[in-house]
Amino acid sequence: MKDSIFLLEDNPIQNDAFSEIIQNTLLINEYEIDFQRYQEVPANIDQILNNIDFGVFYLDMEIGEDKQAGLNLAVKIRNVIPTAYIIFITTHSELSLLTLERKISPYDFIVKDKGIGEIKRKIIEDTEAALNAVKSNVSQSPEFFHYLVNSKYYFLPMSDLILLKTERDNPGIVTLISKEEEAMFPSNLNLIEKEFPTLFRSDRSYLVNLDNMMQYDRKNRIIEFIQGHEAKVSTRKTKILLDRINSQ
Amino acid sequence: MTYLVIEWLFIEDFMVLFIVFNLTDHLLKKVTLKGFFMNCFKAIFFAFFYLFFSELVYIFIVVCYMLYEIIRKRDHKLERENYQYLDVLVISSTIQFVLFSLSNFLVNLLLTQLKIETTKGTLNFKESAMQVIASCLLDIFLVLLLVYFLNRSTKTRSLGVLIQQVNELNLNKQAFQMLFSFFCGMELIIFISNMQKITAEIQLVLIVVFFTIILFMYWQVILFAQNYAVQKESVQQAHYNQQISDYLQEIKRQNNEIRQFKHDFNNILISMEHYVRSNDVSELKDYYVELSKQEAAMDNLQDLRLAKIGVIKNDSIKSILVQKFFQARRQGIYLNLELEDDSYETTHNIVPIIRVIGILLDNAIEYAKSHQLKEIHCAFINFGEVLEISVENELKNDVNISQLMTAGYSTKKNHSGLGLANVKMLAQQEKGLYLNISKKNHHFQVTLIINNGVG
Repeated sequence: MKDSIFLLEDNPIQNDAFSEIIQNTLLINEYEIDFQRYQEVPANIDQILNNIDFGVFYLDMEIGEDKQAGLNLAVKIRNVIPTAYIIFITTHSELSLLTLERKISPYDFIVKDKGIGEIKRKIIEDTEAALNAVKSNVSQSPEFFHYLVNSKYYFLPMSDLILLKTERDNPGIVTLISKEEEAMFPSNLNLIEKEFPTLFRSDRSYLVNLDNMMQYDRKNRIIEFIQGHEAKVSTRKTKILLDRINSQ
Repeated sequence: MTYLVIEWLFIEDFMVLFIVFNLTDHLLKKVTLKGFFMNCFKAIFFAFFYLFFSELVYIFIVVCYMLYEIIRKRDHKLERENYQYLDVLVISSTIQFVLFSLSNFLVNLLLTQLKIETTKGTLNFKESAMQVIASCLLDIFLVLLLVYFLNRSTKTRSLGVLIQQVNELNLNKQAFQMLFSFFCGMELIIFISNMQKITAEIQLVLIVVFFTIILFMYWQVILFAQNYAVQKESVQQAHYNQQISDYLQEIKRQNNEIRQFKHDFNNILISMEHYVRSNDVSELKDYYVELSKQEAAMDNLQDLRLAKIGVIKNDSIKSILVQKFFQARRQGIYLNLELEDDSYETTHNIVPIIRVIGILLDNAIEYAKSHQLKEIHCAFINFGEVLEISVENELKNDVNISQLMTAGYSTKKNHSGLGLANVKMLAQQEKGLYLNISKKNHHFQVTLIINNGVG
């Protein structure tokens, strides 16, 4: 199992051009990561995907005559590697963008029409961002937070997660607050606490990510987070919290 | 009056209650093995009270259930499904009460005729056994017969459909109040008549009278519920018809545009042919410019995608989307509907979903109007049993999501600011509805997640 950068582009000239940009980026940043490129979806794609731990995928939407090739592959990738960074490279501006966004949560879209300069800039930016996310394991917390609703898998970078909370008049539902999102899903804090032990259970209704803490109001026992969010701390947990703050 | 030995009285009481609980589960279509065993325990537990309170035990059971649910729930309030259970419990109790009294009476009559027992006085163990077993068997037979007829009756009048309809129209609590008051009245009269040792024949007359009244009430309620439902539907249908006719107008207009375009395009081609033959480059250049202008005109033919709306199987959702589409159009905004799959459907309670879609689209249209945006997006996505409905618009300024969700906050002047908070409340009140709000990449996106496996 390894990390990998993956490129799918049927036009050989463009394939060479993009590959060069990607490989240069890897070289400059001294990333040692596997790079594979294809002009069509390989027959053993399932095997390839199963061997990838974390991946950055640059996918052309149209491969040959198949307008859905990139999309279909993206769905496959999402199923096998839920936290993969998927970037679509496409000429179409008439895509169902919102559908794609919800179905696949692509990291970015790169529109070919904008010219090679823009494409280069975006590829470099996206590659660096993706690889930094993997490298920067702050306080050994997992890279991504995730949860399930029925069979759909939702995830976000752990560094984006601020806190999780429950509300008394809404039992069985957890509210997730991150830097750019607020989401509700059925679960309970006990289960999540077990699955993500780096999070801190400050109170019966709050499970928080201390990495995004701004300061702690001792008198009122409230943790203040970025963007003005707050979480209560129960009396039992104040000592544990103070220990954790001091040890950082 | 006949008196049974206490053991058989207990067994009789147990059987009566056991049948009531199981009949309730059957009518609610919630028969499970676990439920079956729970009913055994409940029947045994309440049979003890039956020995002491006789018929008043039914009232006791209702009160116990209500207290249990109130204590169990976090918000200490009874919900729709609790009232529905109580409704059906009272109905089952009434049915069982009437049928069992009848069975008892008939068996008693039969055994007396056969000179197996006397009409009055205490029966011995053996006689009690025969009385109880025979009554129970006859009762079960009658209950099954009744259930069979209830299921067979035409769809619109069957008990099961009525229960569902009452649930959909949210009349469970009222139905319970009505049924329970009537039931209490009946119980009280029976109880007092037992205490006064009124003869069995008079009791039978009382039972028949009550039964007739119940049938009458049942008939009235069916009529009312049907009427109410038909009324609602015709209002919706009228609304929908208006939308369809608006939409057809649009299609006609667009067909004309396309026809016009084809006409002009052909003219240009024909004219060009002449200049191609004579190799006249400058004239050809002019025609090229002409053609490019035509191409720009084609871009305005956007609305053809609305035709895809047929893939949404819930009529009310279709209806509100068409309505919002035209509402947006009137404000100069294009509601881009993304419907990539062949079919979208939800089995969830539709009313809160419609309300949420309405509010989200209103908000998006409002924002687009005041920030000069040309289009907003609404996408439907299937994930197995999960249906996502997502509304998105570009974000020109930063917003604070948590602030938006609190009631009373609004970025619009003279607006009550209830929109998004209302959406959150609607989602919270329903099982299987969840909300996601995101402001990534300068796009404001609110998604309603519907878990079709729940609710």
